[in-house]
Amino acid sequence: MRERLGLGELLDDAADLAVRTLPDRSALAVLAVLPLRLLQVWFLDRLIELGPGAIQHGRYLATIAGFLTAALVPAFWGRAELARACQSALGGEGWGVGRRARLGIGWRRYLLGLYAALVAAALLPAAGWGIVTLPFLALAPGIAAATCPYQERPGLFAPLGVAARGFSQPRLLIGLLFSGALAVLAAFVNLFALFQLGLFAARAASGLDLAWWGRALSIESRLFDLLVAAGALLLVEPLWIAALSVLVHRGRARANGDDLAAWIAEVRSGEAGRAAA
Amino acid sequence: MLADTVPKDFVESTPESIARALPALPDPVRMTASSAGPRRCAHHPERPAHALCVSCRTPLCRGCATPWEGIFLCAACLAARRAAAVRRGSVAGWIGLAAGLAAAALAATWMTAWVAALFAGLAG
Repeated sequence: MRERLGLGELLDDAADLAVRTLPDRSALAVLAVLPLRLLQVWFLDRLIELGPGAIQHGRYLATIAGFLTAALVPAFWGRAELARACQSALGGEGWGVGRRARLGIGWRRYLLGLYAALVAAALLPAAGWGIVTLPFLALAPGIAAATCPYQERPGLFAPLGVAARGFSQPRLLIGLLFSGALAVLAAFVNLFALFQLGLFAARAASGLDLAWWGRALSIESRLFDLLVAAGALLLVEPLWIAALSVLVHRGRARANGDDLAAWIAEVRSGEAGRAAA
Repeated sequence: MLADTVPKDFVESTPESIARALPALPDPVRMTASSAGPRRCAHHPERPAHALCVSCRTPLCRGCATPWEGIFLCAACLAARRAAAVRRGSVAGWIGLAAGLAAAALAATWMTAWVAALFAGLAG
């Protein structure tokens, strides 16, 4: 009964939640994160454009970074709503049986989770220098969203403590990181191929000179590459949040014995059913 | 005088609080205290008093007296104090959170900008 949660099972549950049970919440999360991803593309494009001279344009970059921070507010709301819906579905609240889901993370929990996400966003650039720290801190924004439905107490440290407990299963988190990286790579390749296919079909069907489009949608176009990467991240986003939500939910159920209680209830209902038959 | 009026098993919350409490006890309690018999719990008259609630000065038996931060309180006063403590903690927590949110937003903005610029400079 209490065997460890496997990576395959975790990914299966996450895909089931994000695609089948909660497609509306997944779409909401993608839409909410879209401005953040577009601003990240703009920021990176400007940074690469400025190159070594970027250090002399600190205020300009800080202005874009300010927009990035502002975009984190709706992005986190979308992620938190998906995480809340996942928690409800996993907790047996009947999300997937026709009951209309309500938008219900609650502003208190949202603010507590947003604080944890902002702290992670502040630490992430600093961790960019460390090969070991970067992957764990890359998980932090997702963990902040996945633990948001469990936030209770306001304060400077309490929300961070709740978020930190999301890191309690490092083996699975490392597996998820590798799976996430592979998924983003696969999404990138597929999106890129889709655009090339579209361009080829347009050329073949219309016979127009699409040289400008050919250059704009080529691998040499930095902006196009960044946009496709952002698109790949957006596609993986709901699966990522759902997987982290499943991980956090199962971890907490195991820690407080809810999984055993559910198993006992299941066994009893089975026995009662057999007795009735 | 004070020793005569307090039962032998009476637990003093603090000497100062008991000394403060006794002269101002409500009439029935003072009557009980000045009478020869042991004082009774305000909620369980069949039980002898074990302590005084420091807040409302009600005599309490062992079951009704709850030690809290080194002093004895009755259930009602304990609930009131705990509610006040939770309110204080909650307000302080939200103030801390608001400050933390502002600081984290500023830190996220400047860290992103400066670390990225520094990184671009080094990479170039």
